[in-house]
Amino acid sequence: MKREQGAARGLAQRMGIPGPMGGAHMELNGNREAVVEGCGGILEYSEESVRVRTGKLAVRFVGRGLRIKCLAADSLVVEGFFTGIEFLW
Amino acid sequence: MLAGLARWLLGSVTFSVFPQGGRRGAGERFFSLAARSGASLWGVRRRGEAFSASVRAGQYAGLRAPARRAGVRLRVSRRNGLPFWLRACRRRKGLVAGGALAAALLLWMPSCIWSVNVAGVSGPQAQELLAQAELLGLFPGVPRGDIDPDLLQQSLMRRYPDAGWISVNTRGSVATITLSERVETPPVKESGRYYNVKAARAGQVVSIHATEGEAAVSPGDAVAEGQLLISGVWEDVYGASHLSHAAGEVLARTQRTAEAEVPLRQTIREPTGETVERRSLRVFSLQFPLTAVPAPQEGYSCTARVETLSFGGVSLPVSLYIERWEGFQEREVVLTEEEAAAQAWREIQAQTDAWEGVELLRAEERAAVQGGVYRLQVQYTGLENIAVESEIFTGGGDEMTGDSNVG
Repeated sequence: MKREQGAARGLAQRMGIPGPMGGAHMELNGNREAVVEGCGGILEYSEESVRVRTGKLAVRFVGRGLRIKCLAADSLVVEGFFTGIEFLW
Repeated sequence: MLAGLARWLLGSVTFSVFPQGGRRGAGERFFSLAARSGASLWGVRRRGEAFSASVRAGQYAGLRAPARRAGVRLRVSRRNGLPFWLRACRRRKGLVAGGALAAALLLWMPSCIWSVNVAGVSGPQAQELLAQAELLGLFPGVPRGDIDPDLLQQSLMRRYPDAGWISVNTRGSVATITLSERVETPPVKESGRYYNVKAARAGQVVSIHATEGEAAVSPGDAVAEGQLLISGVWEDVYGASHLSHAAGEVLARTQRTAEAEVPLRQTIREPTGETVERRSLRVFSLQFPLTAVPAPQEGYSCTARVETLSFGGVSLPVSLYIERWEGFQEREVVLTEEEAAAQAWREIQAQTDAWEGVELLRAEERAAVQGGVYRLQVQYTGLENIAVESEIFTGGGDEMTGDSNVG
């Protein structure tokens, strides 16, 4: 299984298709909304900081008035005023 | 918006999450476990140590296991959506029945005509037109599908031959009958048709003024009814006959007689002063009595009026129907000759008023009482235009046929 995923990632890199970092796909709408697909859960949630697990990585959104708009099994939408995004190993 | 509608249709539960024992990260862990268990959450907020979120109504029960594992306590703060609304309605059967009835009424009402208006005429004429329309099937409450405006229009036109035009238009639940008066157009001189002028009545010609054609009589001549007055046939200096449309005015002194008969013994109605008023409310095509008084049988005459409510110039299907019954008693009276003469003269006056274009010059009256009846005969001498056009029929070419008085 892991070999197949590795082969797929290699093929995507050779074709110039950006692969998901840490197994997650993230879309940003300005600094107001972030859609994270492939997230593994919420690690921290407050109005100033939202930290989510994305495979081996953790992504931390820092800002003001942050809130989780939607939360499903492997995706979430965070909205608010982002002042920074950190990738944590 | 679509998501909001779906959430409302499926129902949603807004709940609060309280971490137990002040455990840090219990709320975040609960949301992660809940999302992993398949629940779709939205509106996740944090208020101090507590959280709140919303979930589909059907998924709320599945949140108990993640809550237990994460060590949090859940409390429902609000239930929203159709399933909860229907559940609440189950206890209020009257409300549901009322809503269903209202919905049915709203669906049914636009399919009927609820107001019939008349434009172009007013007062009794409008009431008569409405009554005729009702006889033809157009009345408040009739289904719109049962109305054929074209057919109705034609039927009304047949009943009002003097009307210039009658149109029936339906707009929504309002039907409007528009009556246009006929506009009299001046007579058009038709080419290819020839006329003589004849006497409409017997009399003595006072003056003759022929605008076309040749005068066949002179002032002072006595003429009989139908006699040629102005000829449409004339001869030129070479003796050739020509046809024309004769026209003109012939003033003549004529005799007219008016008669009236008045029985001296008459039965008259005298009001007793008793009145009965009955009111009823008409809503759509239903009538609700407002007074519990029965309709009088004999010895009463009835007048009725309808007061229709209107809004913005459109008559509403709500009206007040008022009947006024006035009692009377019949009494036999014997008129004096003077009273009978006054009554007879009123009748004579009504007859002479109907004579149009007659200038009355002299009147000779003869009155007599015979067999209990007062008879009055008045012979009038008047001055009037007796000229009337009569067509000359020609049967091909210049040969004349018909009309024997062509000189």
